[in-house]
Amino acid sequence: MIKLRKQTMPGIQKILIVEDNIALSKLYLEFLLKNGFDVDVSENGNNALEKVINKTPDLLFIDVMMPGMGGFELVRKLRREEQYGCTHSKMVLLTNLGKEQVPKDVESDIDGYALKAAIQLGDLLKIIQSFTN
Amino acid sequence: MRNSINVRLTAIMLIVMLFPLISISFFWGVKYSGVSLQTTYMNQFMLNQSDASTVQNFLDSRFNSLSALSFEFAKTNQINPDILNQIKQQLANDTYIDQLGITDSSGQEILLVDSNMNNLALKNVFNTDAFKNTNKNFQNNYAGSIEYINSKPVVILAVPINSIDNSISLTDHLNNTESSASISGNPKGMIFYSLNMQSLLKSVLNPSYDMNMQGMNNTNFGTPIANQYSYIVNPSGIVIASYDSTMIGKDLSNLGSIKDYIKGIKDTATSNYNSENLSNSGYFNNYKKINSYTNYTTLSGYGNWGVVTEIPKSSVYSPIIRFALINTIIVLIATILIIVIANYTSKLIINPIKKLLNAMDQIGEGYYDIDLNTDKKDEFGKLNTSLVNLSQSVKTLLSTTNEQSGELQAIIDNNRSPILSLDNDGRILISNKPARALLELTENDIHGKKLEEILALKVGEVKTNMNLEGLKDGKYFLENQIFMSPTNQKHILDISITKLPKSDLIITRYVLTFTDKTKSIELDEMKLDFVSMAAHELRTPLTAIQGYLELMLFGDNANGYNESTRRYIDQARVSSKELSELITKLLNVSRIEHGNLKFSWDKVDIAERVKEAVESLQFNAKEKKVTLSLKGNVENEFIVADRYSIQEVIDNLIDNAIKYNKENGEVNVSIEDDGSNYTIIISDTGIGVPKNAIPYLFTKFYRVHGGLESGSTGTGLGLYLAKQIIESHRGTVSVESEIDKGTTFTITLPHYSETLFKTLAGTNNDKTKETNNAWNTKNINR
Repeated sequence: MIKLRKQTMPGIQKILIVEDNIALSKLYLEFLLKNGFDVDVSENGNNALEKVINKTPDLLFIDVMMPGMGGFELVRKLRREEQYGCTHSKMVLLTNLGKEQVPKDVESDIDGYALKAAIQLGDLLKIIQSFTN
Repeated sequence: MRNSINVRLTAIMLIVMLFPLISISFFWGVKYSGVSLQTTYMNQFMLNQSDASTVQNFLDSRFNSLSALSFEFAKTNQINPDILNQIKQQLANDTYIDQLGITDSSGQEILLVDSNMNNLALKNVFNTDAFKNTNKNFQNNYAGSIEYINSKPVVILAVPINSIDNSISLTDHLNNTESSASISGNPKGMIFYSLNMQSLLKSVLNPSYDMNMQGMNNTNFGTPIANQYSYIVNPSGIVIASYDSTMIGKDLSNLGSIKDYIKGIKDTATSNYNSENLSNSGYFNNYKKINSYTNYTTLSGYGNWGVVTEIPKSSVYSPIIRFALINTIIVLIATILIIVIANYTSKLIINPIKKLLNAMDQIGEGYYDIDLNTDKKDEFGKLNTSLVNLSQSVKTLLSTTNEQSGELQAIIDNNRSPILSLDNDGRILISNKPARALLELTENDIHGKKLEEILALKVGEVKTNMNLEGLKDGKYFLENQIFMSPTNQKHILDISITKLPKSDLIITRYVLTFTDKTKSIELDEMKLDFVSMAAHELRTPLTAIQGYLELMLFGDNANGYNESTRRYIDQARVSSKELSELITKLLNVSRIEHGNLKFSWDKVDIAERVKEAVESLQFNAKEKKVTLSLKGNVENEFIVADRYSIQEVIDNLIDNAIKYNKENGEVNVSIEDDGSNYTIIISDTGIGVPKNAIPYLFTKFYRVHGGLESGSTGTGLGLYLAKQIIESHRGTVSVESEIDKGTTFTITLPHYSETLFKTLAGTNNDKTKETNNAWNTKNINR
């Protein structure tokens, strides 16, 4: 049972959700907003790169398979290119791809992995919590 | 070689038959030639004697008549009419007398008449040899040399006219010519004949005269002796008489036989008149340039004349030569006959043998309908019959074999799997079309090639050749061999190899059957890729559905629903969760096939997992009216496991036992420990599994009850995944089942140990700490 209430977590305020499925991105957006986070949404990597320049997120939930720039490419750019200001941001792959399909370099660049199909909404909060503890 | 029998047979027959023939003819030839020669010599001798005695008698009778006339004349010493009458009679009787004369003691002729009693001119013959011999030196009869007067051979015969005792009769006088008592005083003259010898020579010395002599020539072995010549020589070796007038006067004293004759005369000089003192000797002479054989006989009393008879050597030897010639001809004819007979005889044997050989050659060349005479009753007939039968048997056998091999070839060709048969050296004997297609070789290229030349296999990146020689007889199976074809097509092959025992009857030593899995593997990969893709595509909207359902149930408006709405939403959530789990299973299958299934190894209390599964499924069991019970001491039983996966396997098996059970059935779960392994037994009293389905139970997508019509749920993935997962845990899973009585699954898992943990963890170097399978994070300060 997850209590949906406004709360903030130290260190993690600004969250960017990179997800091409609108139903999902709206679901995550609504859930996280209700839990008191500053949440933004991008439908692919290209859009995310534009958004992070204006507002550097503390945490990114990144889908992998997206039209245009995909999740792996986005992780590499954000982690390795300082112009985006996200080299220290937490990045969690939120995807339905198996963990084994994540390339090694990307695996070392990310801070977490979650299988969309297997987690419940409350698990998102647990993931965020794991970074603040 | 070709006619050796012929040649040998001919040679043997020639030796066997000619040897006695030649021996006999040689023996008879020697004997006959001796006899023949003897006969010839005898004839020759007799002819010579006969000729000589004829001459002797001719002369003797003339001397006798001369002596008689001399005796009569001496009675009176007057030419009186008595004497003239006697002379006239004598001349009339003896036509050979040409002239007759009488002389007185001074050599004056007192009478000379011709054959017709005509008086001829008288002359004194005191100095003639005849008068000297009869009156002066000796008182002998005289025979002169033959003289030719008017081409007539003439000889003077003379006797002395002695004073005789008138009391002695003529007969006594003749018988006692040596008696001095009857002869008294000097001769009172001589009386002589001039004798024509022509007739004598023509008869006695004529070759044809001798030929006609009866009884002389026709002896047993003898043949008439032609071309024989008799002639008379004087003591000096001069021919004085011959049928051939050209011979007269020739000096033959140097010829061997004449030499002997001259010598003989000297030796017998004192007994000239002994008419029995004839001697003869045989010689070969080169007279008239004819090799000749000569006899001579001395005449006694007549100036020592000799009668020489000569026959050409060719005549002597002609019978022998003729005999030899006949013999030779007989031998020649016999030889030819023998050769012909030998040829014919050998052909009797050789010809059938040649036909047999030809027929055998035909059989050798593959023509089995041979044409041989089988009607003959002899051994060859039987042989021919046997050979014809044999060739027909071979034909039948071959055609059967051909049909069978054709049949075999058809079976092999019809097979879609590549098949090769190899001999002991690994050379290819038989190939079918798929094999040639796989190796990309034509029928002509492939046969006789060594397998290692054409089939280089890759294990990983290393090329290896198949080493057949080291194999023992039996069957071998090579799985997942990679073969790169000449055109660089990659083939993944399963290879069955059968090595046959060594045999004299068959040359095939190895049979290789290939299963080309390339396409099915490609297809499988495509399937997996599709499954993987589909699962991912399904997951995203499903996640959204689940999320929104959660929001509805646990969100701000959750309390606004009535009970039934809440139940509907919950049911939708459960179903979407089931769907999500199904997708997870599909993805897991895909992972297993790609070798990507990863486990988080841990020390897990298997007893607790089983207990939890039983407890959580009690609800399902009750719904199906099935009793679910757990037996055995279940506490602190540790194994090395992926907690999530092992739970899923146990849940799945117990859930199946409930699902496929009957109403009021039972599911009994027990856990046992045999010291090194834990055995989990899940048995039900359900519908069971048909025997023929058991071997396929753990294969993926296999569903026992045919799915749709049975109404049961199931993806055909659960047992497949269970087996894969349990085996990844170094365990085993097995099943026993009886239809309508129930099914028992037995899982064994090894006890926990540090070694096992390290081994299993080593196979999966996933060092990330996972809280659960759904998500994980690394808390790294960046």
